[in-house]
Amino acid sequence: MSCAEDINLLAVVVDTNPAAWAAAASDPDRPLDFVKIIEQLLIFINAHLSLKFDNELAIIASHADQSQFLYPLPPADPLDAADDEPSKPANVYKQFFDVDRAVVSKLKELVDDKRTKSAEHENRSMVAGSLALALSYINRIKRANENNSVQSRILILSISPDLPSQYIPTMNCIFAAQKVSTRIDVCRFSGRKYGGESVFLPQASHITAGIYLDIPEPSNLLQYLLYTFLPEPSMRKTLLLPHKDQVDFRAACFCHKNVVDVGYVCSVCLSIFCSLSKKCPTCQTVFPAPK
Amino acid sequence: MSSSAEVAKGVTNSIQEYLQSLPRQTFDQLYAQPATCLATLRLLPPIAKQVVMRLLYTQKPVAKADVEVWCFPDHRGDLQDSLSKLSRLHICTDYEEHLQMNRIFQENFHNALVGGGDHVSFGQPMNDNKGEVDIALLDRHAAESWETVLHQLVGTPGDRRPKAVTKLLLASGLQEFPDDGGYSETNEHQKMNITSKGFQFLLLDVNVQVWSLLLQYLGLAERQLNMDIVQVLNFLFQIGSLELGQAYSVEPLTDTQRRVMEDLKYFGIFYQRTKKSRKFYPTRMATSLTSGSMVSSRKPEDSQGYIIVETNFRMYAYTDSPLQIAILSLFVSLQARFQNMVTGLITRDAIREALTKGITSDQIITYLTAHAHPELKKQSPILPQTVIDQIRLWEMERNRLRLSGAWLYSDFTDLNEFTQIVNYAEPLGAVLWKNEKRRTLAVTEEGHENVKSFRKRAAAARAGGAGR
Amino acid sequence: MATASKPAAKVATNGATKKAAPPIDDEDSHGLMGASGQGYSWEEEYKRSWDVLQEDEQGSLVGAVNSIQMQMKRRRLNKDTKVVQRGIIRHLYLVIDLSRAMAELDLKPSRVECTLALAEQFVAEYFDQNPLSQLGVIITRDALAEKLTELSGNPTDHVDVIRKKANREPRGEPSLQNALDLARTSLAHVPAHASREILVLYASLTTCDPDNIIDTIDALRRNEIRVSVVGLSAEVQVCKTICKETKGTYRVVMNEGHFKELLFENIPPPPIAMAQNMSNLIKMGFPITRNFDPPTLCACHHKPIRKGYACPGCSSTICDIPTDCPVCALTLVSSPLLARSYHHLFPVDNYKEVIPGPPLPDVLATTATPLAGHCFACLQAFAPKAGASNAALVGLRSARYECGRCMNSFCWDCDVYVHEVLHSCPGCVNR
Repeated sequence: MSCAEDINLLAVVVDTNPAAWAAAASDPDRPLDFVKIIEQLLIFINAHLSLKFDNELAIIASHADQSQFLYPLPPADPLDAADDEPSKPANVYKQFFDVDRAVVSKLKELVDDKRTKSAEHENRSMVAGSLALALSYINRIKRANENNSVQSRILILSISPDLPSQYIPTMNCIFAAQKVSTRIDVCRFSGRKYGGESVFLPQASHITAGIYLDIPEPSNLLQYLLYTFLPEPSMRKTLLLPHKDQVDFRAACFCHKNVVDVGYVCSVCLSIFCSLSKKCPTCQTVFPAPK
Repeated sequence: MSSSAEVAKGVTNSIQEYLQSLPRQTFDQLYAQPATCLATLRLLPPIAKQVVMRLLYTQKPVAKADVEVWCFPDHRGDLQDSLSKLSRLHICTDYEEHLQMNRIFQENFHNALVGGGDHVSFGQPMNDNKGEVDIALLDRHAAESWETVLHQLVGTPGDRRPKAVTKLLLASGLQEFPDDGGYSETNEHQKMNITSKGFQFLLLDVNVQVWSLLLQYLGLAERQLNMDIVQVLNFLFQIGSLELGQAYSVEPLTDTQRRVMEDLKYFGIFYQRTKKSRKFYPTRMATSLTSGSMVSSRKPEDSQGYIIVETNFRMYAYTDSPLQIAILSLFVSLQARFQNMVTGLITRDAIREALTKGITSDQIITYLTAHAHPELKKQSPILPQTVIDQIRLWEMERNRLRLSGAWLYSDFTDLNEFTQIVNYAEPLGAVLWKNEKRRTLAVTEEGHENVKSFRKRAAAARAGGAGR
Repeated sequence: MATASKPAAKVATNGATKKAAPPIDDEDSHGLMGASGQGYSWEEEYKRSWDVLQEDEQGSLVGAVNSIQMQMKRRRLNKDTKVVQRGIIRHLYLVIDLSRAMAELDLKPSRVECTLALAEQFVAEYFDQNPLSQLGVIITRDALAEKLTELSGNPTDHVDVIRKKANREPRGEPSLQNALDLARTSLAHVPAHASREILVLYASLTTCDPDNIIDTIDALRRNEIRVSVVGLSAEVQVCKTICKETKGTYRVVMNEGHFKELLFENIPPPPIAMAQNMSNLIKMGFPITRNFDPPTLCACHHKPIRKGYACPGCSSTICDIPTDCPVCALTLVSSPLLARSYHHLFPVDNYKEVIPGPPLPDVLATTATPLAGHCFACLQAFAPKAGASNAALVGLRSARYECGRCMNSFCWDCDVYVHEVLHSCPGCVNR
């Protein structure tokens, strides 16, 4: 079992889109409480850290107009250097304490941020951007530990609808993850007023051999997390874990960003369109008139 | 890499074995401390860890059959091993085909995860206003102290010979009094000799060395020092969760734990500025105690390898540490010493001498590999294959003679009888040696009874046949 | 005696020059000399590669070595990022010369071993980057051409035939014309919207042809087949002519590393050069996966399957994609297959290196936008610019690269990662 000696890196991407969470909180059937979800997530993260001494972690918030590292904090961040750093109480493990504190304070910062209150980016979440950050961070950790093998995986907690304009970057991230055999696990909330079916995320987990899970009962989130997403990649050969059978391989068209199941593809550049046109807007090829 | 992984596994196993030898009540007391729960979890095999996590927030007992289907069928065996390990460590108890988690463990591990509960098991940090103690100092202190211990083991003359160290080295069988030692007026000044176990100890990885000494210390604490084993263990597990470079308060420690700290200071596990200081600092040795993995592989550069071995059996070691030179001289015939390096030759005589001291070829090879110079580490295999093979051959050379008890059969009446018995004994694997011309046969001790009775029966049959 | 030994000595030095040159050349000629310093290994002067390394004041080489590494990385990165038309649905025949000339040992371990090893890598990488494309393998030896695999999209088939021992023994003369004709006839039926290409790995200096090869060139041109040749020994006029006429490229390798570089230049889809290209909008379906319990018969092979795809046009069951629906003839692909090619179409702009100026006077420092202290993507801190003592090393760690669109700073490792693997700028994606 040499894989037991690997460094385990878990990158968590949390969807913090305020509009979606506001909608979820007022959902009649399955109301979601953001604070409670984060609490359960933090226990899960502590569980990940407690499995092994050198387990690595990154948490990224995928907000409406930006992505932000919640942990680790960027070097020389004021939070890190603060003189009035509250000293750690004796009943908390140092590592847990650092993570929890960083996540909570950074999240507060994000939620209070005035810029995101503007209506123009209502219901968006920068999942692709967060994935790009996560992969860059994973790449850095892998480079820093060239002698030890690093097993990495990404967990996305998602609630927002797909953002069609992020199709290409999302796919690029998926392929980049596949290249370094990083699994992308997806934990998706959906209720009547939020979530809905995602097209990109099942593809992400399917291509990278990750797990896609719709959370039927959000109040039991912690159990789902511990059961399904805690086992490190090397354990996936041993433990039976859920997997999604039906994967939607439809794509978004380039012209209207609609999700299509039959589309027209430019033979030169493979751009997808939902209707016939005379000229490819992507590569400027002029097509012969349809007969 | 794989060798260090095995080493880590060895450490984990020996700790587990020790824990399993403890009575059940002790466990309940141990698990009252969240830090201990956390450290115990990290010692478990990967599947067991997942089982614990899954059961952690389950209040009712879970049917064993349900747990079994968590695993793919071809890994059921691993799962069973993990479950039995869990029950031996009293984390889970199974009764009537159900699995129930130890309530105390459950509660306190939850406390560890959420940072709740009223306890100080993760150490009471203190502000270090003066900022005099930095990580470099701690590393230096740890390295120096540990080196002193090893020096004492190899018998380098020195003046710092703490009683605690002497006692422990003796108790663990790494050192012994010389056989002729008639004088015992002052134990401290008496010269002690390193045993063959001690030689083997020298070649181990630091982490393993620390843990094997600590396990010995536990035994010692229980038998001779009359300490409460629970408090000692809790303390050991606690220091594994402390942060390097942070000062911690002595206040919450019990008297026993303070005594442990006093003793272990000499091994470089703690640092205190003065003896009466209210603060203590764990060193890297302490914080990596329960990591379960080789922290040495991620240590700063100064612990890099220094040995280069060439295919012509020459060895160059870039070191000026008398300890490392002393260790190398165990199995290398050193030729020259320069300011920053020693050169030597791996010879048959030197290796044989090491072998007679009980050191195995594997230990030598592991040591050379583990401390290989970064340049050498770029090669694969790291050591020249010729050297590895030759060291193994030299070891096998010593094993050309094998002693085994035997019974010699001779004076057979004729060749017929001889072949009859040989034919009987050979399928049993009882024949050690035979000579057809001289009609002699050596039979193993195990086979002797069978062969003897067969010979009797055969002789009786022959006599009966001849008589008729 | 003295006169007799002199020429011998000279030969020996020549030999030594030729032997010694490649490894040195391999390492640094591209990195250090750039395009201008390239030459064939047998033409190279004996180069004192160690002269390039300069010790810094502490006598350390780390800085010098790092800056050389960085130069090499940068060179690889400054690619063309213009959006051009590229023929992404490709049909390519890989023609491998297996004549006696392949048995030469000037590439290590031998020309044939080196070529076939690289060919295997080429096949894997080709399908990774051109998922909708097809490939076939042809070898030529004993003045004959032999088609090992038909055009297909399955990399393992091709790798298997390349690995087969019988296909690794060089012998006889090659026949360029036979190989080209075989490839040409095989490519004739390919639909017009796809590009047709032949890539020849040619070691011989001669060719043994049944007919006039100029006729073949004309035929290739008529069929709009693009021929590229990678030469292993020296430039051959006929290859040069073929490539020029068919708008392909002709390059000759200098050493193993260069060979790989030249071969892999053929992996990104080539820009469409021919005016009369038959580009078109192709109707494609994106099926979703279905599980069947009990197993169902698939429409394409009539075999029972448990897992398959449903055609969005006619809902018939298909066992694998990409394919054409056997019922309604709709081309079925998956969006990930298409998406694999997108980075060719939307490359990330090259980042600009930002050289931190001298510290500004206090008055200005407060008004100017401060430089970020860490890499935007991986949080790696940029080392503060220290004194000039080990400038190269500090330069490496504090080197920052800025995206022209989102104005975020990245470290050089992330720069490489973004352009070579990720293909999306982490800064731009977050806006």
